[in-house]
Amino acid sequence: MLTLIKAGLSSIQDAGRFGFEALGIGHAGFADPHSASVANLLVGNKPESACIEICESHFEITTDAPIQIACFGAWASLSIGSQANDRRQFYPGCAFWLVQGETLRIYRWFAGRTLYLATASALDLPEVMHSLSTDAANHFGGRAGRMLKNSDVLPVMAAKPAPQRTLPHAWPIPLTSSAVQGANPLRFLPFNDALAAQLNQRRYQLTSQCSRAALRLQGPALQIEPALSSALSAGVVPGAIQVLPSGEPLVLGIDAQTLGGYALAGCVISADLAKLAQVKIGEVVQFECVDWLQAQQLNLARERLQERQVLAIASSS
Amino acid sequence: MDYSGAPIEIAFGHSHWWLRPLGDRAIRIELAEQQMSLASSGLVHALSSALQPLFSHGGWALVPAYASLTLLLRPGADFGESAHQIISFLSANETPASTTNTTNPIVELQLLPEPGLDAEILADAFGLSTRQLLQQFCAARFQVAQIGFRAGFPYLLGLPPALSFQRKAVPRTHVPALSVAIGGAQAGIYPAASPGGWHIIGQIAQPLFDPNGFAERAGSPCWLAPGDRVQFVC
Repeated sequence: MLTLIKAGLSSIQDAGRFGFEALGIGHAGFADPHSASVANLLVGNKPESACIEICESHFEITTDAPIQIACFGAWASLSIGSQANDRRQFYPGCAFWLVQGETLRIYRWFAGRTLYLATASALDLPEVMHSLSTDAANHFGGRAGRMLKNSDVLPVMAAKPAPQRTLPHAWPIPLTSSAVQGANPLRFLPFNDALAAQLNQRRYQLTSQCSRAALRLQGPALQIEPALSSALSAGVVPGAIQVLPSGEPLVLGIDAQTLGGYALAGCVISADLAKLAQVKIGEVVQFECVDWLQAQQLNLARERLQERQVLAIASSS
Repeated sequence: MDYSGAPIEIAFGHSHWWLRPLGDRAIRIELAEQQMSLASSGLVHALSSALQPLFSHGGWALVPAYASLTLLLRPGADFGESAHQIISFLSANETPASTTNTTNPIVELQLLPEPGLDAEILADAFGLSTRQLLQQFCAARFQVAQIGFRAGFPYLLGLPPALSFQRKAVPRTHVPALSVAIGGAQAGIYPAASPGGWHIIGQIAQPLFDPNGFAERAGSPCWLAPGDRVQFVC
């Protein structure tokens, strides 16, 4: 079993739930599914196996039996050992062993905000509605239906033989792109043309009020007609860009509610959804309105890159 | 044929709808006339039922709301192909213009008074006794228009206009689980304790959400579903 010494901002997630939205149950699951797949593949798991998702924070975990671990996602240093003067440093992208009495400490975060910790010995937690993902708003799934806490114990199944895999090249996919000087482009498809036109090319800073449910942004307020603010609530999705009556844009995350009543400017394209979990607090995003064809091309290019990375892992063992 | 992502106007019988993508993983189909009414809600449920056979393979999830239906694409499924399938189906089929769902069974819920919360405030405002308030509430026939806010939270239409009451200026930080509440022209029931801005008039004993599923509801985690008719009993 694993014991959390410092849980930081962590939760159990897998590929999430689908098909329960009409009952008010949202997707949950990996906020950056590709990074989670890579962590899983590095320890020989299926890509969608349940992982610990860690958001930038001080995290520390220990084990009572040897366990093979891999991390991927944000770029952070992984410090492993049993004594202060005898610690090894690892980085995301390779599998390693943690033995009894050792701790894995993650507290220096360089780039990105979300990291996945996959274990070759599967987490032994019950599935709820076909998933192990934590639904924190509705108090079910994961470990006790909530974010992890200090001293939580995570039972694991018997270890299976796993290949010791390493990514051959450190970072084939940039977490966030610096195509725009100092800002991360967030490409979106318009939903309301007037709001989308205002949002296009504008820059916003991520505030500390960013979670798996939503990103609150600081920046220019949009002009919004009062009629748009009193719209009837309707189905929304992760990546939807809501505009509050004050004109403040708010982007829904993977833990989005299923219905929303605020005006919608547009929706972040699939290729950029993981950025919502990877852009750091205090960093800047720039909204860029794209058309349907551009969105298809960007999504396809992203998928190709991800496939290449998966193939590189498979051929590394 | 690929879908270009452009909005499309659809007519069924006497109702007009707009279909347009919500990002690259969802489609919103909205009634051209956005109203919070049993008639609109009935049209949404008729559309939802008409589309259901198309999704027997589970490619999309349907999210009915007051005056819209949102279709969510399953991860890995192809948007263009699925969207084209939906559009062809809608343009080829005469969808029933039934407005109210009279085929669903009526779900009865025992309404218990909850002294000390808001029933007295509302009764005073309406010039009724709390007993009369609850009786008038129980005389109404409700329908679940949409489920959201929290898992299993039903938004109920059918509140008599005389019982409509604005939301609290400052939301309560703690609404007890299973509170029955009035928010504007709607009624609702909080499945679990949560913050909330609606006025609480009573409570039910029947749990509304069980993540492990209700055996009596064919394993569904929610006691109520969109389209269900609800009758409070006191």
